[in-house]
Amino acid sequence: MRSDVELGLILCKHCNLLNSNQLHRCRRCNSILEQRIPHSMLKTALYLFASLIFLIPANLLPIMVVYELGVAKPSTIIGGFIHFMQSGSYSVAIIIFVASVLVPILKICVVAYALMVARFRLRDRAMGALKMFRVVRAVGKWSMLDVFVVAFMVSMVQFEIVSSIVAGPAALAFLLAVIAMMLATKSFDTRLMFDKTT
Amino acid sequence: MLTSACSECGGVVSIDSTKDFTHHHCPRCGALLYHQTFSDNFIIMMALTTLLLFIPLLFLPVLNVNFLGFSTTTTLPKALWGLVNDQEYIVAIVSIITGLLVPFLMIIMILATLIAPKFGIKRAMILPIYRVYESCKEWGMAEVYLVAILVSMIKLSEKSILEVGLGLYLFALFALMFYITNTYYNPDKIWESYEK
Repeated sequence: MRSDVELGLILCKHCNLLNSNQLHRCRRCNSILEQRIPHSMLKTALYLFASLIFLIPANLLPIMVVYELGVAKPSTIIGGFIHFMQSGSYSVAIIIFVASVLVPILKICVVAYALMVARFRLRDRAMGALKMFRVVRAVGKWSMLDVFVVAFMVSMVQFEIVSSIVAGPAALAFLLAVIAMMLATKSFDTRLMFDKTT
Repeated sequence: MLTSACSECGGVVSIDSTKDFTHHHCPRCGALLYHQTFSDNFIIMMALTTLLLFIPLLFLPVLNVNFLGFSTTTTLPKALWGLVNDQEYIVAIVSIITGLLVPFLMIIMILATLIAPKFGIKRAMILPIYRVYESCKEWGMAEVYLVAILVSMIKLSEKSILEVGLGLYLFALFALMFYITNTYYNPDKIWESYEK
């Protein structure tokens, strides 16, 4: 199978029409044509790095602080998982673990691997990398689950001195890590893994 | 025969557009290249249903929590706005945008791109709307917010008595309709309708 680059064609990413690479704008929808996402690998690498950095405070700092009769109980993401494991709600514990610990780590590994495949032109690895990348892209937004849970808990549990919940610094760090990760997958052009030369 | 290129692996493929098919996948990487779905009118109806479900969601109570005699009731926007009191402005704003605002705008944009051609509005007017829809597609997280509420309910039920409001049922329906409408919305048809 020959690629669009070899045949001198450009695919319009908005309306999916194939144009000649002599054109600068799509002849059907007039969008600006780009053979590949500009600076795709650099952008992906930078967003990936940012996501990795934000994940450290996101996991170590408390995501929310529960006040009960004036006593502060900070809870971290991993703490929540341990709590549900001990209380026997294994299904909830597994959801929390998969969504907030496993998925971010796996996502970073897969995107880093796809970047390597594209950068070092390991074309026979491209198919496998693309399949994993698709999974990562599909589950991307589910990492926002924790942020929504914190937001919801904070506004529901407001019982004056008896019990109240305040958002912790990890909520913002986690949000930024998820957004950076979503931008990383968005800026990665999977076609780069299949290209022979640039 | 229609020649196109795969947006995921870059391979040039030919699609037999005369054949009656529903899905056309890339022969090399399996990416979805083209799918035929319901008629525009059907999708417009689904989008309108989704929109009708959304409006009462802004006012109806979602959940009532009773803890040792203290009770709080919340609606969807109020629940996310709670973070503002903690000075967590960024988290609050991003949650409201992704959980409620973007899903709402996406439905409006689907409706606009499908209804406008019926009134003979030019393609140049619809394109900017479609591009905005395309770029905010990943940021519509109504279903994530729904699951987050369910997870919170499990957490809350340990210590307090919960009373589910009508809003939660409507939100579940909304999230489902929102997902279906987005899956079946096929922009390729819009471009085709202008080519005739």
